[in-house]
Amino acid sequence: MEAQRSDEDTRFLIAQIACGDRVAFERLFRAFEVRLYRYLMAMLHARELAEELVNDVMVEVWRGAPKFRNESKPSTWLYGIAYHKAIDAIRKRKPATAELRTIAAVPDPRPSPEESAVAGDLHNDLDAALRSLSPEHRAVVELALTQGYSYQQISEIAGCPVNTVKTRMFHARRHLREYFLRAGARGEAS
Amino acid sequence: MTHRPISELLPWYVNDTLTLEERTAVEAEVERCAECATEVEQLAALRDYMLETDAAMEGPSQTLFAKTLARIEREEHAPRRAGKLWAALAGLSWILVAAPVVAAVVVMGFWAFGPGGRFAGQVSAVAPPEQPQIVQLDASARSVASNAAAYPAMYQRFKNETTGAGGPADAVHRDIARTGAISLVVDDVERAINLADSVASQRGGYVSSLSDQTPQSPGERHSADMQVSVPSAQFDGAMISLAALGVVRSRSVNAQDVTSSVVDLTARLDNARRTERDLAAIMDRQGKIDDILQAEQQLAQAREQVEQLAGQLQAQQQSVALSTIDLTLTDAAPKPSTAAPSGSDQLGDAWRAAVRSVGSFTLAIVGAAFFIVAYVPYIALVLILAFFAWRRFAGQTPR
Repeated sequence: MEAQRSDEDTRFLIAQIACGDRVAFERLFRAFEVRLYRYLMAMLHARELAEELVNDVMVEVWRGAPKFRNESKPSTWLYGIAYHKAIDAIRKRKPATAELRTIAAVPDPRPSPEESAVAGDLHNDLDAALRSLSPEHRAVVELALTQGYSYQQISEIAGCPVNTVKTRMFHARRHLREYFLRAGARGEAS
Repeated sequence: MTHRPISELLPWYVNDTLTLEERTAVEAEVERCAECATEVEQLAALRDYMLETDAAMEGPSQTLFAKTLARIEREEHAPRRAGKLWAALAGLSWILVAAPVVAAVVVMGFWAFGPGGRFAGQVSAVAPPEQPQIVQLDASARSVASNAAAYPAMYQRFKNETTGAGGPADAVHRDIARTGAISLVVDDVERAINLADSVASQRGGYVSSLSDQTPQSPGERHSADMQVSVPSAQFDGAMISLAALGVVRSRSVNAQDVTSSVVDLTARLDNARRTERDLAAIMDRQGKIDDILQAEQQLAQAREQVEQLAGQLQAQQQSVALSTIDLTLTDAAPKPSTAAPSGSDQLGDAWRAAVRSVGSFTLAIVGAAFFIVAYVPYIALVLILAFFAWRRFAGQTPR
């Protein structure tokens, strides 16, 4: 009920923004800046870039508010913009020949999965495992587990069929399961 | 459902977004399959870890909103520049069409913009550059009214929150003086003035000033400046109703918190009145002539101060009670002349047309010269090829 009211409020703010209302824009900005920033940080692991993308997303919201269709949920619209901006930014910053996984780990100063496995820290393991996912797989995991979106909403955010969302999640889970198995094996060994 | 589709739903079972039917199917599967049960535990652990990490993460910098707003302002006020792709395409198209089109362009230029040319008279009739923006704002202006109608509860809540009414701030009375300004492009200024007048009356207000600038000569636009005063409670409604009279070119609202000023004036007025009463009491007592004269002089000063402060307080209270909206109305199109033009007007028009034509012709000549200079290499190439072709043709023709 609360979420429904919040959605209605956001719809109204978007309608006001479409009229050029800067006060409404600030309220929408304040309502989403932290959530979007954290989501983009989880995807990009770079503070400045994440802020730049929040900026891009909100400018896009300002420009696109008149075209916002009421049938979609406002927050999925915002996350949809953020999703595509994040994927584009990750693609742009990595060399064209490199593979997604290796690149996702390039800017990460933390230990590699193998190093962290040796370190024996489950959280480092999880962190490394998440970072080693491809951007699309990581996004699905983030949107489902941190942001709490249903698979239908994620398909709307990512602009892909529901089955693709499920398949991406399936592969992400398979990848993450290895880390859980490793952690389990370490737990048994100790 | 088979095992795989149900297993696929486990992450959404963990985040609690499944339908009742899906949820029941997953629960049955988790009870039956140990592997699925383990995975649910792992996913729940992963979700907890991700949520913890998310919550522990710092927020963005405080200046992010200011940066975004500055960018929007910059983009809205900067002229649009063509993108790199368009620039590249434009460059490419120049090269592709250059040589064969040179002659055609020069001839077309003369044909189109020369004296008596087809487009010679249309140079001054190009639409003003702000036209597309007006069209866009037109839609916006209409949706302001529809937003208030479509979301009445939210509109009220939003309004209360932004004006500070209705919330906890209600406990402390605030005196807010609000003023607004709207600039509109309308189809008929005369009609818009009448409509604005009726908007003001319907909302318990009035037109406090009107300056109507009727066009004196053909081509001028009819415009008018109005000031509408309405009770503060009617301010938002009046802004929406007035904006709906035409196409909004600009709109602004200014709210000034005059609470401290009102409190200060009230206190000073009370003090001045107390002094006035005390001095009057001194005057009533029997005393020396000098003392009475001095008291009388001070009493006069005190009364003057009371009057001044009372006037200022009244003005301040009025600014809170009544909000003013400055309205600028401009006709969308210049008025055509209805009267038959006089002989001198006709001669004047003919002279202006002639001057415009000479100007266009001169520009066309200069433009053509630029084209010729720029395309000299291509023209030379075409001429050389034509020359060789002619020589070859001439050489083969039997005499």
